Amino acid sequence: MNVEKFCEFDFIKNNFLPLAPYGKSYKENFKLINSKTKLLEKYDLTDVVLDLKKINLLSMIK
Amino acid sequence: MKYHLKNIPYINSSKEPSDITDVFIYKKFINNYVFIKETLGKKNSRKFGFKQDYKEIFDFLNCDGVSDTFYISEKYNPQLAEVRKKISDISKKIDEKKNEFLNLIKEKTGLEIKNEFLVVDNENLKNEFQNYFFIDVYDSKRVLLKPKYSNEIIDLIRKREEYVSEEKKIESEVVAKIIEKLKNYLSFISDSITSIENLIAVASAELASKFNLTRPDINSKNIYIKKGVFIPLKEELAKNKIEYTPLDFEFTKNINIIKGSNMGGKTVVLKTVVLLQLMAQYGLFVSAEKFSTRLFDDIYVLFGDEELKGLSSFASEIYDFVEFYKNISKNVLVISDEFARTTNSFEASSLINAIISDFSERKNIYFFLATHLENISKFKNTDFLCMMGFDKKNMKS
Repeated sequence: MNVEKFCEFDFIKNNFLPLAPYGKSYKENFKLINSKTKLLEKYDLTDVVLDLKKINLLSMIK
Repeated sequence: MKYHLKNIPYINSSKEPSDITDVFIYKKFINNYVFIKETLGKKNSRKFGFKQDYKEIFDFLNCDGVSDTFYISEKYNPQLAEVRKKISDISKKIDEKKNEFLNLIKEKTGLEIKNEFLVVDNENLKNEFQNYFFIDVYDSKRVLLKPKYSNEIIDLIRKREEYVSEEKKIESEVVAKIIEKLKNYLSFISDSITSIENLIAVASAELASKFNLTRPDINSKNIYIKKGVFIPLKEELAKNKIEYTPLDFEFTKNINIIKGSNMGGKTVVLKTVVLLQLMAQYGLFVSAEKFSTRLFDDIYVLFGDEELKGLSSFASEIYDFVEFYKNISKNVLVISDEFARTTNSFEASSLINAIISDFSERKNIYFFLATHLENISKFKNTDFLCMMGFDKKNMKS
């Protein structure tokens, strides 16, 4: 069975809203990443954006 | 930022720019890249890999002022200014001469021409029209009149066409020059696309903020979940003002048999585990206060393929299992919800025991099975877990 279907991943997908065309293509082609380095890079960058939001640089993201 | 992310165009970096449309797209890409880099600031832009300096090409492409559109500026070639002036002057002259003639037509015939032609009924056609118009059949009842411009006007129009083709030639040369310049930046563009791709983190962070997601820990041997949430269900329950009970557990063995009564939440546990693992391995934060896990090459849900028409549910489930088993050497998270539920309980338990016996000997398989069957044997590396059922303390009458 399709894993995304089993865990109703569409709900997450529908709330994941990248703006650039590159992000949209990433969203449509989610792939399981099994490289620790790649995943940690992604988590780090998400943390950077979350930090920017915290210090109210949110205006640049919203 | 949002504006520039939305506006940055898609570029196929393996294809060189070749025409004016490509120049326009590259300009739009560079402009938006530069603005995103500026917005992020020096320190943050470096974190996302924004290191390319486009100043020279940015200024070159925006020589008439910064804009996302592209116009072949006269600043690229002074001859362009000259020829455009000639086109403008001669166009004015042509318009003047045409208007003079059209006014004369109006005065002499009473006909007003607006779109270089006029359709009149045959019965209204007069002989004198031949002095001013070329006359063609339009249909059985009407004729088409086109102004008979003087040779002077025709010569002016021909001259203008010469100027226009001269303008096009210079424009092509300018575009070729710009394309050559852009080609020097192709490796920059390729790196810049990676930086823009990194900004997927903006969407990830938005998602994390919306659902209170946390950063997963992917260095664990076991799967540990503290207050894990299956978001789709939590959101559904919230609509009906029903409280959601998050999942707390540490799965320390490779084989996890989850038992419990029907409607006891076994499936939700499986779905939570899969959702958290999938989100983590898609590079997203997860819906748990704490989620520690290890990485898998694949996640497999044994359920039977609904597409396999002609097979019974049990047969398609077995077919699915056989397909999975062909690639069993991979490091896989395997999920099964009530495996063999459509066959008799004796056959089902025998099958499940055989599968667990096999899986328990493998270090690369992390297996979750929800079942209500009782006679499942205890193999090594296997945990039997039971859903807690009703929270009697909090039950209300």
